[in-house]
Parts: sequence; structure tokens; C-alpha cells
Amino acid sequence: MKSEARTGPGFWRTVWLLLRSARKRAAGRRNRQQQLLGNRSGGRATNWSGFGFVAAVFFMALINGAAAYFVSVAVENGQRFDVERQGKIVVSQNFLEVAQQALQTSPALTNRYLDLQVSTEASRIAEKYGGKPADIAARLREAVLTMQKTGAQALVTREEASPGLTALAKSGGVATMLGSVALLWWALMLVFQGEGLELDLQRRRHPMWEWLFSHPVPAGGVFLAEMLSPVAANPMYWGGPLFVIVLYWFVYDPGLALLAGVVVGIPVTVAAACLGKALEIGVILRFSPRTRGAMIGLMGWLGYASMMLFLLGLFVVDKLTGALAKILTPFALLPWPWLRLFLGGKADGTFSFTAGVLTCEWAAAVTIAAAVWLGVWGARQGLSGTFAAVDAGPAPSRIGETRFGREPLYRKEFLWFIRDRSAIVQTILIPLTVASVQVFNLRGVLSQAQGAWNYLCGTAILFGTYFLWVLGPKSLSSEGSALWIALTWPRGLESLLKAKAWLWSLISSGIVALVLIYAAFQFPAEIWKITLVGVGWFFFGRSMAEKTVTLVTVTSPSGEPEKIPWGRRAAAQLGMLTFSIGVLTQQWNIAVVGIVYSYVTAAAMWEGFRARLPYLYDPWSEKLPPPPTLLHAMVAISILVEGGAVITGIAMAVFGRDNLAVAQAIGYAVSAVAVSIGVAHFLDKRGVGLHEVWEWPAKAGTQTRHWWRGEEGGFAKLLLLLCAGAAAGLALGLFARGYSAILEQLPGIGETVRQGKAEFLKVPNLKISYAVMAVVFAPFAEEYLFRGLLFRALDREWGGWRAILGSAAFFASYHPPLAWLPVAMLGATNAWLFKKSGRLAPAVILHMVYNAVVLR
Amino acid sequence: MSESQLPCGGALDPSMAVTETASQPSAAIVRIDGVKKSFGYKVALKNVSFAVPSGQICGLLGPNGAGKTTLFRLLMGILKATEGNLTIDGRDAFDDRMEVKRLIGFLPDEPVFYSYLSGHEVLELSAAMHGFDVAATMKRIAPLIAKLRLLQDINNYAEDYSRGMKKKLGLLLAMLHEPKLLVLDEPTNGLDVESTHLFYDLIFETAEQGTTVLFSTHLMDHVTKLCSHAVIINEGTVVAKGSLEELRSTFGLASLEEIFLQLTARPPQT
Repeated sequence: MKSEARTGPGFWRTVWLLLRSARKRAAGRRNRQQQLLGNRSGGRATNWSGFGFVAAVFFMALINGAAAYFVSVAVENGQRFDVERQGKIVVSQNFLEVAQQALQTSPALTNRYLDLQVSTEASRIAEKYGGKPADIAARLREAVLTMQKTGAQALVTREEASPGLTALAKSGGVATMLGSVALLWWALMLVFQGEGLELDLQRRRHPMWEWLFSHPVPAGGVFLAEMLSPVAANPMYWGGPLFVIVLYWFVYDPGLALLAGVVVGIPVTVAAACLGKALEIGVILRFSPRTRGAMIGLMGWLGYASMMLFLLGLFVVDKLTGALAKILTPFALLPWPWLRLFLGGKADGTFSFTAGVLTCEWAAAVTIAAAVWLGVWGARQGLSGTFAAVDAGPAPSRIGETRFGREPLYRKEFLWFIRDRSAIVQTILIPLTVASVQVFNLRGVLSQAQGAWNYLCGTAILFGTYFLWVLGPKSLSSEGSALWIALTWPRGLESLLKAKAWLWSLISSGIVALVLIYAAFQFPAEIWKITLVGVGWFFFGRSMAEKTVTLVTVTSPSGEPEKIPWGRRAAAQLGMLTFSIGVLTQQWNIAVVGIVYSYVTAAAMWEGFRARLPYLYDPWSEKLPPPPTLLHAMVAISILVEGGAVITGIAMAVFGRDNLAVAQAIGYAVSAVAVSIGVAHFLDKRGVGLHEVWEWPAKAGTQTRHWWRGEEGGFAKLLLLLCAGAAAGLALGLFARGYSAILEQLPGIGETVRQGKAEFLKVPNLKISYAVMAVVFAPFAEEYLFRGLLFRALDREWGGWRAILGSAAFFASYHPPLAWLPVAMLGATNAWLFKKSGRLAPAVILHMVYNAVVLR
Repeated sequence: MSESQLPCGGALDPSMAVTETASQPSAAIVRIDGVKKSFGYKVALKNVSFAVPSGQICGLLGPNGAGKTTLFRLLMGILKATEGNLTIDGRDAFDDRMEVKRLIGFLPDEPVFYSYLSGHEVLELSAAMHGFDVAATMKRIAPLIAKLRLLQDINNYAEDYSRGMKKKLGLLLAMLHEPKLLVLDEPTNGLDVESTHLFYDLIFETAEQGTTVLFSTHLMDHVTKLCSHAVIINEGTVVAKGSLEELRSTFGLASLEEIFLQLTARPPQT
């Protein structure tokens, strides 16, 4: 008993203890997130994380399977290359037969036919493997001539040339090399996967090692557990054995392949994970804190980039391996036995399952042992490492130059950028990679980009948006645990994050500008349109950066970043599609709507974010922002518009196609009434009475109240305000009529306007239906939603003229582009009138009179 | 450590503090009234009420886990009280947290700094973020830097500092904007004897110039020598508060340590 208490746990017991505690930590973390979610939403939220995990496992299995397929294709293409290096050409079965027939019949007749066949075959080869069709055709012709003259087999079919993995041992240098390179590439991907796709650059400190080593435990056990934990945490590793199964399936029968998944796949995957962790441990022990982040970031980036290369390489697998073969051919002289050994291929060309399994297991065991040894050796060297000598502090010359001037936050970010080696990885390399992947996904668009400036611009926008989408949520990374300092400043985190949003938008604009400059260079005739896109991006990118910054999370003291809710991530993308589609289809009005929509969404997200921000460290006190929020207003407006369209469709089905106008009027009216009542009910249930939306409260504490805001003399005052509203409505309506009259005179536009008007008059009952809709229903619903809810929330968010113009632009974006100017003026006037008079009624009257005047 | 080494020993007459608080009850800069703070199911503070009189040094005592750090984070507006009010100079600690931050200098338990800034640059940045003229502020605090013996290392990366140096830099940050109230979370925890004396010298001098100091510690003799007031919390509630003299007379015990042990004694757990 006594002696057992004095000796610590053994090697395997230590591993088991630590792994069990890691599992408990993970379970506890999930539990806590669930509790927090319940606390915030009052138990009404659904948790989708289980579904997300299954999807991740499936996706990762797919990547591993793709990697195995990639290896086999690499070998086949290598074999083709080997054959071609012997002077032969690989052709289709069909072409070979044609060529052989041609040799037997008379040359004069067949040559023309053969020519046609040669050019078809040449273009087929060029499309699949790259190269110039003309060159390939010349070589084909020469090969046919050689066959004719000497009878040598200069043409080989693909099946003959590339027998695949089973003939690996008999293959030439290029095939074995390409196969081995693909295999090592897969291994690289696994090694650098780490704990998952969270590219956490702040992991500078070694975790709990010091504490763990204060126990009488074997260091090797601690490091082995540390190395095994990523296998348990990252679904990428779960898919690892699938790679082995697929590859073995190519060579052995299915039963053996499944067996190999267990006896080879698992040890090899574990070995890869151990190696990655050992490298990470090495980095932490060897490098200074400022370098560690960059090194670990780079490792994570390598893992991510190699993974994406497999996924994307699938679509261009032949061309990619062909290009690789060309570059690497000089190295084919070296021995590349890795793939053969991996699969158990023997020198005589046969395959032995036992040999393969034993080789892989031996290699895995050696790797794991070496990795553990590296960790133990590192621990013996002292956990503090030797980095103190590596960097001795900022260069003395720089001291004194540093002046934190007018906006100290920019200066701070600049210093972070030039001094912290992880800054470049984090702010440029990683977002750029992820954005490039997205652009590759949309390469259909990109291939058309060669032909049109607008596709190039659209690609630039998607690229920039993704860049921000990746960068924004990491905004507090440069703060790390030093965030407490920011909390002692009388400025709050808001200014810090706004500063970051501004910086990110500048960086992304720089990158988008590069693409746009290229576009301008390619299409000099369209330069002014491209410039316009650039101006549009500058504003759009700003709003996009503001949105993505609201996705920011803080790293908890234990070092694990909080997950970002899916809905919030999706909301950050709103407006992006509208803007880019507008540019792609060259419809400027749609692009402008996208920008306006993006800005209002940014304000809505900041409203929620500002409500969350004070509770960054106190999630238990976090509450949803009080209604009515900007988001409520935006959702209600969307329902009004969509619901109107749906009900119009139903009404048309009931009354017939001829009664379009009546159907539209009914649809809009029903939708307006339903949405208004629904929203009022929704808000009432949350403690916001109708009068609180209908009235604009006077600012508390302001002594100088305007005469019209007081309670005394209520009715007369209201009447006066209504008259003023009616007068303004008349004036604005007359202006709108004048504006449309001017438009009719303009060349180009005038024709469209007149046509529209004529169509308008042709529809029966249209005028009276529209009058009912526009004069009776629309003003109430629209003033309630656009002014009572939306403008009020925007005024809280932006304040002053920005809110007035922003809400007016948003209001206008729901109208036809030619009506934008007068409608925006109406929106701005009503917003101003609402705020100044404190009542919505004058704005409603103004809207009614305006619509009546315009429609008359 | 002998008591005579503490420079402030006996300099402050505790009875004076009592009369002062008795005659000017409104001069309390920190008012904590019925504060409760819970994190989910866990209740950190049950019901805490006390006031810190202006210009005094008040020690916050309590066993581990009593809720001292939570209380400080509440004062800094980093957490929001579940119930009750915390005001600093009449302002709500959470709702007016931006204003309150001009009034408070805060030193956390374990200060961490930006890895890419030197100590000097952290100070400059903070001065700028407070809206001060950076050069003038740095000139003003230069004697303080020298006094805390940080001159040699001030231009090195703050992340490479030792624990004690980080605490000193943290104290400089807390005093940079000449706050009315210093909130120090275990300021001398982990400091060597010499640095502890430096710290207490400085705290005492600042208090003499009118700054109120609220700090937590585990070292009773320091409280006895330095503080005029003390608050003892245990398991989230205040078990004793007042000037040292009041505490002594109330509990009829000579030393603060005895009072503390008596108040925080827990029944043995089985």
C-alpha cells in the first residue's frame, strides 16, 4: 500500500489518465456552451453542433478518400510519362486502331482521314494533360510515320501504358516518384492538422507541462498523451484510415483492404498526429514567444493548404500531376520506394499484404517513439527553452521613434505587424489562402473572367469579401491575454474594434485594388467602370469589415476560442451576393442596393454586438438587445415585401390573370395589415407598446423642449403638424412629377419611362387599385416599419444625418431605380419630420398626399 | 521582516480615520450596496455592502475564493452585478464604466502585456489611450519608473519581464492617469521583500496625496501597518468592516489576524 502511494503511475497509466481527463474537459466544455446558450435564449435555442460534427467527419473522410484516389492517378500519370520518356506516345484505343488500319490500306486515301483523326486526338490529349494541340499533332504524325517505316510500336494505349498501382514495382522512375510524392503529401497534410482548423496563433505558452511534470509521472507518457489528444479531437484524423483502405483496395481484395484500414490506417494516422505534435512541442521549446505564434501558424497553414490542394486538385488531377511530373523529372533518378513499401510491394513486382502491414506498423512505431523521445529530450533540456538568447528585445534604435500619436491604436497595430512574426501569417497568409480557395471554387466564373471585365471585378469582390470574412473574427488575436489593458482605458473595446475594422478594410481594399488594376490593364476601354467598382468596393468593404469584426471571440483563459454561431456568420455575408451579382450582370442599381443593404446589416450586427460587448468576460449576464432592434425592422420589411408578392400570386390565381392590378393591391394591403399587426403584437409581448413606436420620445433631461412637443394644446398642435405634413407631401409630390417629366425628356431613359407609363395605363383598374394601395395602406405600414422601427434603430446606431440618409437610401432601395431620388427625399423628409415632431402621424399624412399627387 | 522596516508603520493614526468617516459619511468614494454576483448556478458574491472613505487605504481581506477578485472585476465594469449597486464617486461601475475608468487605476492579480511592445511603449500607448499628451506624461512618470527600478528594462519587451517586474509595470499603468482610486489585486503577491517595500512606500505616498486605495492581500501585518480601514469577506459575504480601531473594539481582539481567523473559521468538512 505504502510503496504504491510513493511510486507514481506507470507509462501507460499516465497516458490513460491524461487522455481520460482530456475527454472530460471536452465534454465539460460542450456542457458549458449548452448552459450558456440556454441561459441567453431562455432555453429556446436548438443546438446544431452534433450535426455539424457529423458533417465535419464526413467531409474529412471525403478528403482522405480523395487523397487516395489522387495517389493512384499520380501513379498512372507517372507511368504514362515514363512511357513517353521512351519516345512513345499514349493514345486512345480508338486512335490506335485507326492508325493501324490506316497503315494497312493505301496511304494516299487515308492520309486526309488520318489527319482529321490526328488533330482530334491531339486536342483531346491537350485538353486532358495540357500542351499545345499543334505540337502534339506533329508528334503523333511522326509516330505514325515511324510505325509505317520501321514497324516499331511508337503508339501505346492508355490501358497498356498505365496499368496502375498493381504494376507499381515494374514502373519507371517517374511513376514511383509521383506516387511517393502524393503519399508524402498526404502524410504532410495529416502531420500539420494539429487540433483542428482553428488557426490559433496565440498558443505561445506551453500548456500544462510544468504542472504535469511536478508529478512523479514518466515524461514520455505525458507527451504521448499530449500527442494522442489531437487524434481524439480532430475528425480529420478519423478519416485517415480511409486513405489506407482505398489504396489497399486498388492492390488487394476488399476484405484485406478493410483489415488494412485497422492494422495500418490507425497506427499510421496516430504516428502522423504524434509527429505533428512533436514538431509543435519542438517549436514551443526552441523558439521565442514572438516566433512561436508564426511557426505554429505556418504549420497550421501548411496543413490547411495541403488539404485544400487535395480537394481542389481532384478537379484538375491529370494536369496537376502532369505539371508535377515535368518539374520533378530530374529527381526521378533518386530512389522513391515509399509508396511501394507502404503497399507492401516487393522487389520482384509482387505484393505481400503482410510485408506492407509490417512495414507500415514498424514505421509508425518508430515515428511515435521518435516523437515521444523528442518531447522527453526537450523536457530534459528545460521547459523554458533557449529562446531568451534568441531575441533580446526591440532594437535600441527604434526606441524613442515610437510615438503614439493622435490615433494610438493604429500605431499599436503597426508595431504588432512589424514585430510579431505571426502577424503576417495571420493577417495576410491565412485569409489570402482561404480566399483563394473560394475563388478556385468559383473558377467557372474565373474562366469567363478572361473574356469580360465584369467577371474579373466580381471575382475581386468575392475574393475581398472572403478575405475579410476570415480576418474579422480574429481581430482580438493581437491583443491576446493583454486585453485587460484595453479594459482599463476610458475608451472601451468599441473604438479598438472599429479601428481594426478600418485597418482590415484597408488591407482588403489593397488586395482588391491589385485585381482591379490588373482588370484595368486587361480592359483599358472599361477603365471608368472598373474605377466605379473600386469606389463601390471601398464603401462595401468598409461595411463588410465592420460586420466581420462583430464575429470576434475572445480566447478563454484555458486557451480555447469560443465558437461563432452559424447564423451570425451567415448574416455577415448579407449584401455580398447582391453587390457582386450587380457587378457581374452590370446592373448598377443592384450593386448599389447591395452596398446599402450591407451597411444597414452592419449597423444591425453592431447593435447586437454592442449589447454583447460589455459582457465579453461575463457571458452569464449577457442579454439580447432590447426590442425593437434594427434586425426586427429588417426582418419585418422583408416579410412585408415577400408576403406581398406571395399573396399577390394567390390573389391572381383566384381572380384570374386579367386582374393583376387588383391582385397586387390586395396582396400588398393584406401583407401590410398582417405584418403591421404581427409586428405590433410581437413587440407588445416583449414590452414595447404601440405608442412607443408611434412616438419619438423627447430626450430625457433636455430642458429646451420645442413648443410642439409639449402635452398642452394637443389637438390644435397635432392638426397644425398634419397640415404641415400634407403641405410637404404636396411639394414633394409635385417635385416627383417634375422629376419624372424631366426624365421623359432625357434621351435613352425617356423612352423607357414613356413605355412604362403606357404599359401602366393599359392594365385595367390599375389606377384605382394602386390608389387604394398607395394612399390607404402603404403609408401606415411603411411609416410604421421604415420610420417607426428602422429609422429609430438606425438613429441610435449612427445618429444625425447619417441615420436620416441611410434609412432614406434603404427605403429607396425597395423602389424602382428611376424613382430613387424622389423616394429617398420623401424618406429623408419623413425621418426628419418624425424625429422633430415626435409623432409618426404627420409623416403618414405626408406619405399619403405624396402618393396621391404622384399617382394622379 | 521586522516591522520597523515598513516605512509607514504607525504613521497613520487609526482613530483619526474613525472620526473622519464618522463626521463625513458622504465622503465615501466607493459605495457597494447589496451586491450579488452569480455565474450560472455558482454564486460568487451573496450580499456585499461596504463603503470606502475617500483618501483612505482600505484592505480587503478574505480567504481564497471569498470573492475578492470578482469584486474588483465588478468595480472595473468588466462584470455586471446580478443585483445591487456599485458606485465610484457617485457613478455606476457598470453603466458608467467609461467614466469610471478615468477614476480608477487597476492592477490585476497577474498582469499580462502585449508581446510586441516594450514596457516604455505600453506606458506610452496607455497614456495616449487616456487622451494625455504622451511626452509630458512620460516625463511626469519618469521618476516613478526610476523609483520602481525599472529604468534598465523599460525598453525591453514587457512579455519577457519577470513576475515582479510585470507587477511593477502594472502598477505604473494603474497610476499613469493619476486616478482618484487605486484598485490593487494582491499587489505584493510574488514580490521580493525589497519590492514589497517599494510598493507599500509608493501606495502610502499616493494615499497621502489624496488617492484612495483599495487592495486585497493575505498579509495581515501589512494591513495593520498600512491601512486605516479593512473589510473582511468570506464565502461571498462581508463578515466585518470598519476602521481598524472599530474592528478591534467590536471583536475585543488585539490583532487583525485573530479577528480574521475567528470570522473565517469553517466547520471541518467530513
